[in-house]
Amino acid sequence: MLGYVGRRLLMAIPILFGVSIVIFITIKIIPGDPVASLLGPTGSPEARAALTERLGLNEPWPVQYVTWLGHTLTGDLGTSIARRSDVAPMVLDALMNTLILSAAAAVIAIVLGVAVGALTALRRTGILARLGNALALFSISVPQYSIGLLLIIYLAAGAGLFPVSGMYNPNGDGGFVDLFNHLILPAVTAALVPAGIIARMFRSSVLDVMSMDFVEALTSRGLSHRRVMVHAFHNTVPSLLTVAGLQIGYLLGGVIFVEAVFAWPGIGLLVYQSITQRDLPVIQAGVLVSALAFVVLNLVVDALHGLVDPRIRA
Amino acid sequence: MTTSLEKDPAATDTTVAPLQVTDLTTTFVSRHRSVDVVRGVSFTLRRGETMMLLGESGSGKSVTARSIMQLYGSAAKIGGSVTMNGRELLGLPAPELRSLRGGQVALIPQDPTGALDPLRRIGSQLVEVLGVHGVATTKQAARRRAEELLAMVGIPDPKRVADSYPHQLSGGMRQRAVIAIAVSCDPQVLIADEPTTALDVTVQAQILELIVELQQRSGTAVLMVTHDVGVARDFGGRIGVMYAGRLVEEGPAAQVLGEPRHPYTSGLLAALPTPGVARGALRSIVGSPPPVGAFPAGCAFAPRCPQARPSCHEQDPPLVTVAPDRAAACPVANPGPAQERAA
Repeated sequence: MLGYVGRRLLMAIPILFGVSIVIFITIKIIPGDPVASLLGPTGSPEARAALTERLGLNEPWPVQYVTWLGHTLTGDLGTSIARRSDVAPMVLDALMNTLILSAAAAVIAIVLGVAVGALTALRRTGILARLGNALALFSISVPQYSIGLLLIIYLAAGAGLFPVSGMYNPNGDGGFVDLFNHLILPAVTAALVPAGIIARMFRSSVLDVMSMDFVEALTSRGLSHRRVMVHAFHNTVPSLLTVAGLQIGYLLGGVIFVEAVFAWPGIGLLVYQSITQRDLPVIQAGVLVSALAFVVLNLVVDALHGLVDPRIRA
Repeated sequence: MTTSLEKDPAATDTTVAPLQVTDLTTTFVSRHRSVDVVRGVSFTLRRGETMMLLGESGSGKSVTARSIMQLYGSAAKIGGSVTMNGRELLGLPAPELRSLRGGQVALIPQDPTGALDPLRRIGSQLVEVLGVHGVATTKQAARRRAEELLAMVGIPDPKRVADSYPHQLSGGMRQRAVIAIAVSCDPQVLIADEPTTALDVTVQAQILELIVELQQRSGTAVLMVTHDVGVARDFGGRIGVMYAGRLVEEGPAAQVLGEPRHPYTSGLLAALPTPGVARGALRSIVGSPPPVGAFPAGCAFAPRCPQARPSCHEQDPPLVTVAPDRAAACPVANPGPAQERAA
């Protein structure tokens, strides 16, 4: 098991290396001149040259890449052009907020998805199963931002049940209850698509397992239905992990819409704002940190997979 | 082992057969239609005896075996009677059925890979069954018994195998483990559904030998389902040939295979290669078996039968005694006044 996790860890290194190259190149080829955006239209040619020199932008790309990578590895993510402050704490704060939102959304998505998936698999007929199927399809098909806006209009602004946006009440104590109230709507919005996908995948996984020979074999050994179902659900865990892992990864990246709609101060919102401001260091760091979170998540999912399924650790 | 059985006076009566199947019918019901798969099968399995159900795919042999254990739940309607030591099994309440399954009747399924939970160690799967049937009361005792059972089915290092997952074992080892689970609670009837079909030829013989050995040791009655005439010949005992959901011929294996009475059995044997005979000597039966759910009126074999009489297409001939200890469901096999077979 340890060897398996070790191998996975080693495999993550080249992946992260590749990610860093892709991010660097993407930043280089997107249009927009950071020097111009820093100095504004009135900057003199001398000032432009001096700033270009200071930012190291006249070095060849490979040199720039190595310099950037070196800084990044030592924890120096540069200085924000727009906000004139260190990028590292800014990005880490935003990442933490995104992780809170994604974790809440993931819990909702997995609980809902498993419940609806199991229900529609085990009770294939009946109103509840049909309702479950329809809900799953609906949640996959509806765009997140429109659901988010509807929730804001009716539940937050209209009924006043929840705060409209943000993460904490500016006049509040910043405690857990405050955070929880702000968290519900964006988390539900972000959870809808993954919940629908998990529900549909889990449904077919339950059907698969229930049709496997060992279910009959266990019954033939005198096990009760409940015991047989414990075996069956155990066998759905590997595929559930795969789907849930993918969906949480998708949440980490896709939560940007939800963060924008609900003004959630996460990494998506930060990157989104930085793009409009051509704040390259923040974009770079934000994307890199998101990619890192994604890789770590996959590592965790792989490790869990190995823990559940002995065939994988071999 | 099971208290309900100890109270049953029939259990101690050796004249009562461990398994008696009378006029068994199995009908699969779905929302749109119902399909008769087993149509009136009767046979008796005595203590220590082996009975082979021989037939092609779709002949209903596996369904017969599973119907005895009532593994289809609400998917199938099962009619007729199945008794163990005189006690009726059909319609038993769920708890009694559970203690029966794996306790007094055990199943060895065809594919050992599918029969084991891939995520559980062999030992834990054995221990679970021992626990469910109350054979071992403590964890340590169950574990010790599990290793004994693995050793008994010829696994050389039972400790290691008990700690292994199914995918870490070879197919033959897996089938041995499945057999260990099946015999763990000392069943009176062991149902083996093509136990060697999924295995290499070299391993097949070993597994069959193991089943014979276990049977001789414990006096278990074995109901073996197979499509393989070779297996049926090696195994001996009694044989029941099935076609289209019916038993068409029954008797001691050597006699049935040596001197078949039913035209279907003859056809089946003629289609087998015999060592030393040229390839061209093989004869296949013309046509193919009727699909399940579309059995013709009269004898289901009549459309393919070279000796069919006009009456065969109208009336399904009953299984009647054609010689001492032998029965066939065919008027051709039974010239002279037909006498309905008693048991």
